[in-house]
Amino acid sequence: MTRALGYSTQDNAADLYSNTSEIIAQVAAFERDIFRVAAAFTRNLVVQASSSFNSTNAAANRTVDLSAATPGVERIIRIQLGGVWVSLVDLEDVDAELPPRAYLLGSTLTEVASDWGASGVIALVIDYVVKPATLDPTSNMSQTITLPDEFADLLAIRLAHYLAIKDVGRDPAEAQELDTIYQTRLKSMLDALDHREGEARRRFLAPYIVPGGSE
Amino acid sequence: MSYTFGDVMRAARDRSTYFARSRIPGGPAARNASAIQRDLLMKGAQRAPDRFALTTTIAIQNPPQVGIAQTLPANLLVERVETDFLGGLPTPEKTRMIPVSRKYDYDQDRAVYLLNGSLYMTGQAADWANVTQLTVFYVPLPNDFAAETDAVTLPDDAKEALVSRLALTFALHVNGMPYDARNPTSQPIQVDVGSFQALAAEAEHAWLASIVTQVRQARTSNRNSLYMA
Repeated sequence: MTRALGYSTQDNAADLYSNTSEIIAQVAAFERDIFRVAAAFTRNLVVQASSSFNSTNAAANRTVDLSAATPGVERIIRIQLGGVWVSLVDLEDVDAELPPRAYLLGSTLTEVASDWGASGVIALVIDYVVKPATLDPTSNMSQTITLPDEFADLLAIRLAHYLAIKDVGRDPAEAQELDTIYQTRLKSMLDALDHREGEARRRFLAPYIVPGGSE
Repeated sequence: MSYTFGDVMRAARDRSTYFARSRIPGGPAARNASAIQRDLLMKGAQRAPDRFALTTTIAIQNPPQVGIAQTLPANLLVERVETDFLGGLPTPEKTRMIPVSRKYDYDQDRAVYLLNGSLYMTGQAADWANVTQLTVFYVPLPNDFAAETDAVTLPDDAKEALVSRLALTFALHVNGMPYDARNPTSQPIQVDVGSFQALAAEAEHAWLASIVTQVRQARTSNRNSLYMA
């Protein structure tokens, strides 16, 4: 927040930022947005490699609850079951892939039929792009953000933009300028993530890049 | 080396940058490949059934199971049946295979006919005296592919034909599909289906021609032509 206040002398009015739970909630939302945009564009922001999740104990239609995963699951990259890749399919088109298959409803991963093998608890190993750690609006301002330090100014710019909009009577051009700076820096971050891996060899053209962000 | 369905699918995907798994998942690929394998195997078997044949035996019981359905393994075709005699003598003889409509002509003689996938013996019990078993030569029905590790039933030299025909189904599948799946109005994918078709036809022809060539080169040493293709 200290950095955000530096973007305008008019942000010094304490009543703009005195409600810490409001500020924390906003920063948390901005951070989630950044992870969401990055996860749609690249897998290279923060990836949790090979986390193991246990299924329910059954013979078929076993489930894995991902809602309690730490860190949270933003985007599943791949799922492994005993060295075999599990195919994620659509609930309405489970025949699109060969077994073993799973479909996702909400945060629950569900086995298709008895694809995961013999009855009992099954351990799935999942690689995924993480969500940022939850920031508690009822706690204090010293909570640590998940976004790597090199990209942390994105949150400061976004917060400065928020304060500029919130401050009634402020010149709208300031908010527009902050938004332009934010978009430029966001693109810079995505470029940095994209070129980190160098020139990847791919056999196929990616069908699409999903536009992300919730604002 | 024996190829797996995964080998074939990956080779077919290599034929175009549009054949990614996200556009053609493994399910349709497996079903298409299964149908193509059956088709190629049938065409190959029509030209040289011996090359693809397996055998199974039906033991003759006492009394012989005349008129009783004898279950056969799943097959594309039954090539021939041999009658094996007690003590191995005389040498196995080719069993007459008749259409079911002629079974009454063989009330007093040995023959077999096929009905609804099962084999039936004609004649009377005495006609099967000294017969120990029937050896059935058949071309097996390959199982549908259900996993990438499933072995391909076709011989290795058929891989190019199988891959090319699978690539043709991929081309038909993606041709006209929106480039961006989330934007149906985006530029449709345009694949030269005709070229895939030509390559598939060429590969299939080459494989079938090689079978025919091998048949022509085959030598037979059996005067009764029992083992001729």
